[in-house]
Amino acid sequence: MITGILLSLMAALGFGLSAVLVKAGMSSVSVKTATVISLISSTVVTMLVAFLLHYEEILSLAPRAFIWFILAGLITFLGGRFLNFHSINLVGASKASAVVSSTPLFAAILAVLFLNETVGFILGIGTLLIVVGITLVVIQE
Amino acid sequence: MRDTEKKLTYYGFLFAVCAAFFYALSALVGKKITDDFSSPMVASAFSILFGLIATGSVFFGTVTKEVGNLSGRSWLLIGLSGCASALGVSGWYLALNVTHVVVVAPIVAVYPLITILAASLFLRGIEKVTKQTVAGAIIVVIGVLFVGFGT
Repeated sequence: MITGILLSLMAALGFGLSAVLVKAGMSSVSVKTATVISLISSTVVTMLVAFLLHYEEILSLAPRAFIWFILAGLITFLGGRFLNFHSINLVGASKASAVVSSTPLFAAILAVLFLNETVGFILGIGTLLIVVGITLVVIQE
Repeated sequence: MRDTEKKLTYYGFLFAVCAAFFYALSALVGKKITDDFSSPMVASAFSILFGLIATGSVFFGTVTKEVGNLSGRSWLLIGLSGCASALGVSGWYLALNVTHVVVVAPIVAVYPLITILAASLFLRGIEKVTKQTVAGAIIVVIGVLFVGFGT
């Protein structure tokens, strides 16, 4: 349990610090170059962890899996990370992170649309809170 | 000038919403991958690799022009940013291997508050963290927890 909590904290710290570090480093470089450089170090770290923990699985991957990996890579990084960095560059790390963290709301909407999941009361409250929170972050003088 | 600044700010928020949508879409694709092909950690590693190849190819011209003039400080900070997000992804999946999602999800969901805290400590001269941003982020985090438990 403690290991799980520590790893979760490491995840939160990693996601939380990433936006601040890129904002601090992006002052003299374009978003495009920043995205590519950040992806180089991300690739090294995740590949290292994946090969250390899942070496045999990697060697037995089905060729079709790579088509899905390419699709995920295009959506997450050419789409998600590039736009996220653009947003951090324009509005700052704290505001951009608050808005981007609404991802589970979009995931729930997509799950309702494509996986036939139903909208319950708790999901409705969560949606309302996210919209209120984002509105507070966006509408500022 | 003020109008242009306002316009850029709204574009910034629009990009943030679009990024959230793309991340959500990638979760859907990720579900298909982890159901049919591989573990989440392997899927992440290869997705990032192909993401690097794709962005590197699309932005090749800009990157080759700028990379020579990049300061050591920028290299270090942006490189560390990539490492931090990779640690985030790895920590998330490794945590799910050893404990339940009901423990992991609420802890990871607070990351915007960590960003705000770190921004107020380390980005003092670059960006201003307002009370309204903090309040908004807290409400979003609570909303995300509700959405997590509601689905």
